Order: sequence, then structure tokens, then C-alpha cells
Amino acid sequence: MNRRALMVGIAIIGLLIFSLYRAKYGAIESAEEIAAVEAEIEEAIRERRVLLGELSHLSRQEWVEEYARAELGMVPARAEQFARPEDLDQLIGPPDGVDEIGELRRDREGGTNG
Amino acid sequence: MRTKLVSLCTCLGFAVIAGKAGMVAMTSQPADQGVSRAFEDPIRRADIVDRNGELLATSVAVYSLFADPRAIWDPAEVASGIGRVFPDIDVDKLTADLSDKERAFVWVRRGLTPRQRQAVFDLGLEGLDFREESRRAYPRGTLAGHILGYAGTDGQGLAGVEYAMDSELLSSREPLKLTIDSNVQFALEAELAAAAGEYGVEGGAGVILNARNGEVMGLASWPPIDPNRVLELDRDDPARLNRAVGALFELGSVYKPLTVAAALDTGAIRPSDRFDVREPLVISGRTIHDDHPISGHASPTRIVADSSNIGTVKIAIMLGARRQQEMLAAVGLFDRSPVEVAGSAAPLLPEQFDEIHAATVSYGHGIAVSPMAFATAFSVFANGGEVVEPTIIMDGKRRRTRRVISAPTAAVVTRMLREAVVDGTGRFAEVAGYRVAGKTGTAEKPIAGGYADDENISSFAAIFPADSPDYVVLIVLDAPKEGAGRGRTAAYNAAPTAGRVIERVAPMLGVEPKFEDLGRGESPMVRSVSQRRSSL
Repeated sequence: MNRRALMVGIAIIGLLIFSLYRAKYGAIESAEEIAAVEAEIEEAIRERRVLLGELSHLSRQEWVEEYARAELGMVPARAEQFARPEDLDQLIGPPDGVDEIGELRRDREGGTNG
Repeated sequence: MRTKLVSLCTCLGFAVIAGKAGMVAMTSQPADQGVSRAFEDPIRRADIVDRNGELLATSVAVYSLFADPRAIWDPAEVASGIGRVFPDIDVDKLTADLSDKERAFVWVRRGLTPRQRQAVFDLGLEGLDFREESRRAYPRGTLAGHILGYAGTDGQGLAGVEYAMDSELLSSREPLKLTIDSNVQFALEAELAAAAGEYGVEGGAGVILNARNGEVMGLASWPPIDPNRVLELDRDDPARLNRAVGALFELGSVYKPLTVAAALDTGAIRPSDRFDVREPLVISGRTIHDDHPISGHASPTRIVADSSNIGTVKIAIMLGARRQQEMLAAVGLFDRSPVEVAGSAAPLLPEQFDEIHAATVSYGHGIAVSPMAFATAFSVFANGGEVVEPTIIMDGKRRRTRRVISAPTAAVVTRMLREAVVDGTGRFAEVAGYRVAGKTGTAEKPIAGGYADDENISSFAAIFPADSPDYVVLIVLDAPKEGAGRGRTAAYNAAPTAGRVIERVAPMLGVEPKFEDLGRGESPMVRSVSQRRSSL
């Protein structure tokens, strides 16, 4: 009876130790996986910083301006080319179909538009 | 009995082994404990961006190559192999360094590109390893170069904002946001460069300041500097100097509005007063005259608009030296500018404000300040008589504000500055729709032993739009040359340059052009300053 109990006890202790061993090394494996993912994240962050730097470099105003002038025919706007919305009618006239006082233009031979 | 004793001892032995195994299983040692860590993690500085988040400075990972001579069997072979990858390396010196078995560490080359790193790696040589480092990169090249400054190979800021905000850049992961707008900055730098070419200057500076909150929208110095290549410059290269913050200039007549404002605010003069400016003044044996004499008696408005030295000195006499100094101190001209850029220069002031010095300082001679300091002082007219402490860091903090003159006085002097552009020496700064108000300044350039006869410091200080000013623009040109039909006074160089800057940046700053004074039905197609430019 004592011998059997002893054997059972040893077996249980052995099982517990084995479980602890598996738990620890399982945790180590998980930690390694996490470290690998963190390294990937770090690499992605690094790559993003490089790409942002390249984007900023390619956005240099002197190149954008040169391209705009040469390829698109654009030049910086001058003050006289700005207008407020309320001034548009005076500058370019009212929209088609509406006279200066905002009424629908009537057909000269009578009747209404539309 | 003996059998039981042996069994017991055996069980105890197994129990001890099991217990020890369990303790080892339960306790764990950190993976890197006991491993020598020769290097710290690379220093990462925070990015620097403009007010809109555009990237101006960032840190990129680079690799540096080092060697352990103790682990190298054949130094000549290793040095020769490295020499094939880096043809400019001194192979003999490297061989000698690698032969020194007393050393455990030798730098071979820093800042390798990925391709170079791979090439060295492919050599398969012994005793070599790479260290990851962080290097500062400035993707926009010369844009805001003087503002940004630069950082050294070991990650410390050495100039500009990199130096002034070094601890913040090292400790924070968030980008450092500047108040400048990169598009406004580009326009300012481009026009300064164009002026340098057109007028043949030795140097130049430009400042654009939001007078309401002290935010620096643009700060430029010519010649420009590329922080990526600063280590290639000679120590005395003129591009190293940030003329907007670190150089001192006697700016001349741009001081006259400050003198007049002080006199008006203290009640020493009134806007309706008239001054006889027909005859030169003699003070302490020195004659003060006008380059363009005014006939008859002149009002303070005419004195400012036509830039009369005689009239300004007479006003300064009525103001008194003490109140003159109080005014200059109140607008910050007796201190270095507090803007957060390294190298802000302290002003050069007269040793004493005696009669002659008080007279010359009234029209901007005998006192030398940085363009940044003067732009801040001039903002008193754009901010209703108050001066806001300037800043280049967008941190949301409220800046210190102090009242210098009353709002009515500021408004009166602003009208004088507008008159100076409409019908005075500043007419070439006019921009249709933006109601520029400003003052020219032309001062003889100081040289050893006195002043040059044929070189000037030209400046134009502007505020706009005059009816509700928000911004200050200051342009300073060092020794502009005369040209065909064009003198070398500020009216012909600094003033039109300031006008072109305003024309380009006003839309970016959200300043709406107004043409009400042209009347309904009239075309606003007035000729702008850009059409008068000889190039670009």
C-alpha cells in the first residue's frame, strides 16, 4: 500500500514537473513568436518612414512648380484673378437663361421657356 | 529494515532531483542576461513637420561597419577586400588599424547604403560587423534649411531647431510641428534667390510673421543651406550663417515709423504738426541731411512717406532720448529674438544714447539688430499697438503679449506706411488688391573703420492688408547692385522683392484681395509686381 502510494505520488510529481516544463517552453515559443511579429512591425515602421521621406522628397515645390509650368501650363495666380462668389455675375455675366435681375428669359415671340 | 532504509534514501534522492528540476523549470533566465551589450539602441529623433504636417526632417536607419582586430587573422586581406567596396578608403591606414591587436573596435565606414552593406556582407570577411544607426534626413533639401539646422552623426542637434529643441526631439515620439507653411517658405526662398540673382547681393534675409499670434510663417536666409550636405561645407562658408536670426544689420529708415509712433503716442507731436525740413541739421558736429530734400514744411506722414532724416531727427528731439529708448526696448530691439532657432544674435547698441546717437538711431543708424527681431518690432503696427513674442514651434501655447502703443497711434502710423507705398519711396512694393503698407530702409553698409560709400543694406518692412493687417513681411538685402534705370536704394530692390513675396504668399495665407477702391465695372486688371520683373 505504501509502495503503491509512493509510486503514485512520484508519478504525479513527475507529471506536474513535466507540465511546468511544457508551460515554460511553450511560453518561450510564444515570446519568440511575439518578438518576430514585433520585429516585422519595426521593419514596417522603418519602411514607412523611408516611404514618407521619399514622398516628401518627391513633393519638393521646385519640381512640382517646374512640372506645373512646363507640362500643365500653369503659373501662380495673380491677385486680379481672384474673385468672390458675389462678384462673379459682374465679372463673367449671369448664367445662361437668367437675365441680370434673375428672371427667366422669356421668348420674344411670346410664351414661356420650357 | 535495511531495505526500507535504502528505499527511503533512493526516494529522497529522486525527490531532491525532481524538486531541483521543478525549480529550474519554474524559474527562467532572461534571454539576454549575461550577454554583453556593446551598443545601445540607435538614437531616434522625432520627425519635424510644418504646420500642415508636411515632412521636413526625419530619421532613417543606416548601417555602420566596424571591425574587431582581435578576430582578424589577415588584416591586409580584409582591408583589401573592403577597399574594393569603398575605393576611396585608405587601405594602408586601415590595414594598420586592423593589425593593432590591442584594440577591440575600429570604425571602418559609417552610414552605409543597403547596397554597400550587402556588398560588404557578400565578401564573407572575418572580424567585421554592422551596427544599426539612425541618421537624419531632410527630404526637402534646402527648404527651411536654416530653420531646421542639422544633427550630427551621433544624433545630437548642432544648429537651428535641431539644436534648440534637441531634448524634445530626443524624448518625444510625436513629430515636432513648426509654425511655418512649407509653401509660404518656398515662395519666400524663391523670391529671395531671384532677388539675389537680379540685384547681385552678397546675402539676404526674409521674414514673414503673423502679427496676431507671433507665429513665424516663413524665415529665409540667402545663400541657402542643404542640411543633408552641411558637413561638406567649409567652416567659413557664407551659407552656414542664418542671416535672418544670427546676423545683425543696421537697417536704416525702417526705424522712422517707430520714432514717429513713439512721439505720437507720448503726445510729443501731433499728426497735424509741421516740421521745417529744408535745411540740414548739425548735431555734435555731424551734419544730417536728406538724400531727396523736401520743399516746404512736412507733416509726420510726409516725413515717413518721403523718408526724411531731418524731419525724423527733429521728431526724435521732441520725443527725447529716454522715451526713445523705452520705445525700442518695449518692441524688443534691445534683446535677442526669443524665437526657438539656435544662434539668435544679441543686438549691437550705442554705448550711450547721447545727442548724436539718439539722433542717428531715430532713423536706424548706429543700432544693429537681426531681421527677426526687427520684424517682431514692426508687428506693433499690424497688431493694434501690441507685440506678441515670436515662435516657430506650434505647441498651442499662448505667447506673451505686451502693449507698446495705443491702437489709435498704430492705426495712424499704418496710414502713414500706406501713404509711403501709394505715394512714397515704397511704391514698387504695391500689389493690386492687397493694400501693402510699408517703409523702405537704405543704410550705408558698415565696414572696418566706418561705412562704405558704395554699398548699402537695403530693407523693406511691410504689413498687409493695410485696412486690417495680419502679417509682417521684412526683406533685407546685403549690398544690392544698381542696374539699368535702377538705383541701389531699397526702393529699387528690397521693396519690389517684398511686393513679389506678398503677391505669392497672400493667397496661401488666406488674404482675400479687395478691389473696392476701383469702383464697380472697372477692371481689376492692374499691373502687378510680377509683371514688372525682369526674369522669372
